[in-house]
Amino acid sequence: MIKHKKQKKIKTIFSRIMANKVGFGALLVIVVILSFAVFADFIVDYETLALGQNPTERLQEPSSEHIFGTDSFGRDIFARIIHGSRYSLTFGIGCSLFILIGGSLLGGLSAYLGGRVDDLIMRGLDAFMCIPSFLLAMALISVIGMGLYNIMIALVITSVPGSAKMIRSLVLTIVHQEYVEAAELSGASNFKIIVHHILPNASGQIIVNTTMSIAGLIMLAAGLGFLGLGIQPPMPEWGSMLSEGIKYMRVKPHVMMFPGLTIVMTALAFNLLGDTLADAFDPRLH
Amino acid sequence: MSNIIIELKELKKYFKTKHGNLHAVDGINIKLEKGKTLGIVGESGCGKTTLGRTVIGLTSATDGEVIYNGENTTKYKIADKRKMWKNIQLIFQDPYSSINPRHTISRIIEEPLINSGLIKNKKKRKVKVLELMETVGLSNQFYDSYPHELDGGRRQRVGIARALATEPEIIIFDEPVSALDVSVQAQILNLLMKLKEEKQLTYMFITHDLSVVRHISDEIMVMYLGQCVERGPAKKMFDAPKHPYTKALLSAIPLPSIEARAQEFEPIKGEITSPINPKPSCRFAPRCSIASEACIGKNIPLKEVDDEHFVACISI
Amino acid sequence: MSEINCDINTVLEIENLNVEYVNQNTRIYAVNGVNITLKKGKTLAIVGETGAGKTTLAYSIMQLLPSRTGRIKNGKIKFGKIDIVNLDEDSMRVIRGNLISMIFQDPMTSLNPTINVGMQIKESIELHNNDKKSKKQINESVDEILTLVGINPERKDDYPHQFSGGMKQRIVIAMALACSPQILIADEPTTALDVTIQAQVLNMMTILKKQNDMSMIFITHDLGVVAKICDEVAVMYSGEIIEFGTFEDIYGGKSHHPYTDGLFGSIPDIKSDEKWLKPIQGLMPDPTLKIKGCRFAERCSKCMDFCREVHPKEYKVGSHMIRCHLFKQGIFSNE
Repeated sequence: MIKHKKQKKIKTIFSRIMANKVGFGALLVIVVILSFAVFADFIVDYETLALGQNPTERLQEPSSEHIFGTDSFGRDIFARIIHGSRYSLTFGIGCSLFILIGGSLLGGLSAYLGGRVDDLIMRGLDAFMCIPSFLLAMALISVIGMGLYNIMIALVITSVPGSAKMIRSLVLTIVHQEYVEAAELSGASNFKIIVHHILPNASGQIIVNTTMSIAGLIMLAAGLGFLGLGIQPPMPEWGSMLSEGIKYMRVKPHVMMFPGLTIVMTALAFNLLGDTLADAFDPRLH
Repeated sequence: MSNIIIELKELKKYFKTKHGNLHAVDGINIKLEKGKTLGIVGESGCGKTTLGRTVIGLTSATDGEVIYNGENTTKYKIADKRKMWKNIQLIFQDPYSSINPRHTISRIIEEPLINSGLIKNKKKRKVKVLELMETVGLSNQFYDSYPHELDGGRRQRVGIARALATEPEIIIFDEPVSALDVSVQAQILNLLMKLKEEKQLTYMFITHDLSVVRHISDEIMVMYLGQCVERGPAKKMFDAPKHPYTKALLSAIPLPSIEARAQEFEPIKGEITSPINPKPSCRFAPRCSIASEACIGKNIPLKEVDDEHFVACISI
Repeated sequence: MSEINCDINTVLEIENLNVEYVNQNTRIYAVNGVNITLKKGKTLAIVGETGAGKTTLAYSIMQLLPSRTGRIKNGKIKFGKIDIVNLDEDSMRVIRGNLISMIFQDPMTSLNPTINVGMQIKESIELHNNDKKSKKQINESVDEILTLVGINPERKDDYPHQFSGGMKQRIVIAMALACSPQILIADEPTTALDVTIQAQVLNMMTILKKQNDMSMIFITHDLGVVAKICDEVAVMYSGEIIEFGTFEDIYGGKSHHPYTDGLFGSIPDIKSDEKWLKPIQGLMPDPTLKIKGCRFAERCSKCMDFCREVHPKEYKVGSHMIRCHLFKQGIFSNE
């Protein structure tokens, strides 16, 4: 009986996503981009097309041979975008996931426990937030060194305080709802209250906020790369491709346009999917 | 009076504010017998909600004792409180915010059974949930429904079923019907009276609406600014109220009848005064029509004016 | 007060009003064929439970229905000679406030927390300043109005949070009265207040109404409050007026709509020792359904087969109207 109910629930959530045209479109885009990342090696060759420089073919307009054109080193932009998805997606999704986990832990604990714990955590985060996040990230990278994972660590650390504050205020509104007190009276442990009562009711807002941050993170990484602290050339990464392309914006706009469009589309797709998911999980909206 | 199930001794709850201590509950004494209902009446800001929450341990008492099972529960740690909550339950005012919108009705009612470990077997639990739903008059078609599919009255029934799940002895009601329409309100009040009789429950019924408590209460206590101003058997309180505040409260209830309209009456003046750092004095004195110099400067104790009828007023 | 005087001029007349809320895939029939007349200087109560359509009716009169979903399907709302249903927004703005004012249930949300109270009253006077008062005159009338509602004018520099709930509601009422409207619509104005404060506010409203010679539509679910303040009563159920009459008709008359009887029976009586209450079983019908017969049939203890098939008409005896098959035009025999 209960198992049957759970299956039904997953089914209804799935059918709700399917019923939402925008959400379905977003899901489709994400599936396509993800499969690019997974099957990148089968689509285009990494060494020759994405990395191999070809000075004779630099800055070519889109053509049948190079459908997105080539960049200033004569590399195929399409190939770089396909392979770049591996880095950019890992980076964007990974970062936002860790930020979400860190933010939920700190913000949730702070709001739920209140009192001194709350004061301590919040003042600590305030101290962190006083330092401009970009500077903090730079400082962290110079300490822990470069590389994709180190950049991720740096960005997670700089972004957690903001996320924690958002989640704290969200949880605070829920903690004082009577159903949380009723759960307490029914003998539920703190852990159970957080997992069963607070998080599900905060999830919609959290999902939307997390998916929104993905695009910002990709751009932040690009910014770091631009200063020589981020992902280093020739590694194909959307953000750094975009900032490279800015140099040729007036003469060859396509160099910037395609990575830019990819970032926008990915971000938008995640955002819309987040929205749809939040709605699909909410029983109040049929 | 051997049958006392719960007793409050000089219970106090002060909240610290920027301007001083807010005396929400200020020395309340109650002895409640098993199977009886105590109606606690007062206007907003009189501390009645805080009283209920302090008794059940959702807020900690500043001073005084709550004696249940021979133990002072105000000193309980969380584990002891969880044990106590199997026997004392609270029903909230707002049927819209007191049940989790993301859980199904069955899951909401089932939760105390799982948490308390009373029924571990899933199938037995389902039987119990259906039984509880029937007790409170919820059709089993709502078993898998979500709260938003239910109206206020049915939601309040869900709240009642949840509170009954662990078969408590005492239930504290915090304005259980004030968010409901009159016709639904009557349905719920009848249900509560029926449950009390069937299950030998003891009720503490907190409300601002005097007309609601007459039917359900054996005894009534009127609170003003954290203190009890009058306490007595329900019938006496309605037929022969003694304290000027109780009288004012009763006369302010607009009655739905032609005669009530003809009656000229002067509502009591002013509003509830600040509960922050009150000076020793009768707290109702600033609004009282019979107040004199003697009312100010010292606290007025409750005195027994009639059998089991207590009033805190020097003029009585 | 009970005699129906034909000379009393009608200030507001609603004819066969139907209001719907249309959503993506649902249509809610909120108000169904309502006829009401409001007479000068009288207070009309609209009584009903949540979802009866009381507030929608008030919003229709103010033309404040949510523009995306709510719409008046047909019917007339005649204010004097003007039908305001299809009036443009600019003319409506002149009517709102100048001629019709409205106060809402929650005084906390009707006041701006960042502006002091005197300023807010001043603004509402300035907004409808037709007799071109000077600044000094406006300041004087702010003081006057505050005194009128029993608040010391010295407190006009205070902010809303410095007042209690009852005082805030008085201020809201003061603002609504600032431009001496002909009609005041009060939507549950005392529901959020304590009984003693409610009694004060009701007393004050009665006096102010007399002084200003206003007509009032008083929306409430509380039959006790109605008894205190109203001259005529309309009982609303599921978007319809099911009973209408003078105060004496409703509270004294022998014949009533079964729903009205049920409502009265549900109220706990503080004067009686009767233990059990007599609630109406069941719930109001889903407002998205079109109902062929009587809308109360499902809950009615006197329901006949006929009731589910045929929608009852408005049966009248004098000033008293009941929409129920138990009655006939001209005579209300008690079964």
